[in-house]
Amino acid sequence: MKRSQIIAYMPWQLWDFALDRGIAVLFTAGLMAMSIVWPGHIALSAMLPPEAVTLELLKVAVAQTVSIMVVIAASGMVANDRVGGFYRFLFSKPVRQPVYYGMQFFVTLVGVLAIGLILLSVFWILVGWASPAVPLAMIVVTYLALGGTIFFFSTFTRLDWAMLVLLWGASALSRAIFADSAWYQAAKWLLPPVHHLDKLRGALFAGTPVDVAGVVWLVGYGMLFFVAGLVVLERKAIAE
Amino acid sequence: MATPGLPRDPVIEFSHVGKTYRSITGKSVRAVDDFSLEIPRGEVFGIAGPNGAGKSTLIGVLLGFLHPSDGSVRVNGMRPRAYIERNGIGYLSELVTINKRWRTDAALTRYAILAGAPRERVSESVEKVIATLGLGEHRRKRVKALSKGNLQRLGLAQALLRDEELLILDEPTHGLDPVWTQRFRDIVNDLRDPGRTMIIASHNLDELQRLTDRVAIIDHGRLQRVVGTGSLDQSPSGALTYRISVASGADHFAKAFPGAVSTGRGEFEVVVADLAGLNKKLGELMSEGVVVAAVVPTRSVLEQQFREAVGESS
Repeated sequence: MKRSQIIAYMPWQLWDFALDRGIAVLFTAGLMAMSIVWPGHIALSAMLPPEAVTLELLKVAVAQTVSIMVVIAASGMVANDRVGGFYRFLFSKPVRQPVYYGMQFFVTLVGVLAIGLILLSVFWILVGWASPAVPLAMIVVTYLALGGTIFFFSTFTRLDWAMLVLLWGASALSRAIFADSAWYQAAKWLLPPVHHLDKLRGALFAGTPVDVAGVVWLVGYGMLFFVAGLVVLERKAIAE
Repeated sequence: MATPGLPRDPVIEFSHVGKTYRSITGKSVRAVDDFSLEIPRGEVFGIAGPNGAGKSTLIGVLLGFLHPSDGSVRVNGMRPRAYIERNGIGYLSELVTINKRWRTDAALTRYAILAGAPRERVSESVEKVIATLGLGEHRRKRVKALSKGNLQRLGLAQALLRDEELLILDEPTHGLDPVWTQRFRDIVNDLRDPGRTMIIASHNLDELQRLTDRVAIIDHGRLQRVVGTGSLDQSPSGALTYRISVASGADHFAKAFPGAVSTGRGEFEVVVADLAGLNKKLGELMSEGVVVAAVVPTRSVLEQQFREAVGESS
């Protein structure tokens, strides 16, 4: 696959994302955010100054919606083509599967960022101006961490989203219940560092220093899975 | 690009290929077993077999969509995926699976880009296959709105976007009406080229007899035999069955062919050992005044071979 082919095909992948997933992501995240922001706006407006209301509502909206957006956007990236049989014509062309899906992974990130901007625009109209930097940064980090993991699962199962929820859920639960136990201290390096998402969001919104090592661990964890997914695509026959 | 005048070296080599599917419960199914075959460059090769014989598995292995459990497959001396990722192939799958939201012309544009058509030639390539496959009036329709036959033509169109050296067509006339079935035959004949190899898998033995040079008959995942279609090969049993209509002299005919079974109105089914013997006997009868109206094989040679091969293996 030549570089010119990759570049020429990117807009089509983005268009597919918009139709296949983008609308679902937009409506789901939009409705979730609206259900939080609207009543919150009414309740907080009486107690806080407008700037503080905007920041609080944005903080809650980002916390509640970004992970869901990423899971809906990234799930089934490989599995849907495999289950639908679309791989047959795609990969009878001179196309390497890891290149095609690697490109799809980053195109999807662009799509999720675009949806984030659309939702932010609605927020600005309804609530007020807030810098898009923190929400967009949270989308990027969450996408690389969760999206990378779900991408790996998608290379061999259609239940990629369920596997992700199981893994991240198990990590969050085990940290909440067994944080002090010896086995958790030993095993925590294998589990997804879910808590760093909350820490990062808190630090970014508060304007305090970010735990860089934690962010590297978070993103590195997802990217390790992403690379593992590319290796699976290179080695495993897609119809197996 | 197909290059004329190349020597007929094997472009596809199956060497003792086996494929076993295993379920997570431990059950296993042997879909292909010890399959060895060489297909030379420039040949139009057929694959025939009953349902579940292993045709689709073989094609999956040939495309690198499945890994063989045993043996190896080489395309131009390379692993299948390595060959396809470098050169691409024209492939029509038995099930035409294209995203239902895509429009016909947009689907072809996408495939043309992926096939490596230069940006300025994408539109030209697409227009050419739309014209060849008569998809002009359906070009703005979404895939989900296409009839079975039109979807099949779209599948064929994407396989023909580039002048590939290797074409693999799995049940290519499935769902096509008689007009487009004939048009497909013309397309295959136009594509014949010493530098291009074509593989056609089909249940339609008449189709394979018309289009291919040789046909591999497979059953239970094993290669039963390879039949040449260029000449009227004798079946291994040596027996051929013909339906012969006699306009006059039916009594005379029945005496000359004691084993003939009358099916009424001067029509007989006759089992003969070889064509030369049949011709000789008919010649003698005609010289004695018997008027022969028609001599029709009840089965094509390929069909006869197929029945014998599949019968033997079951």
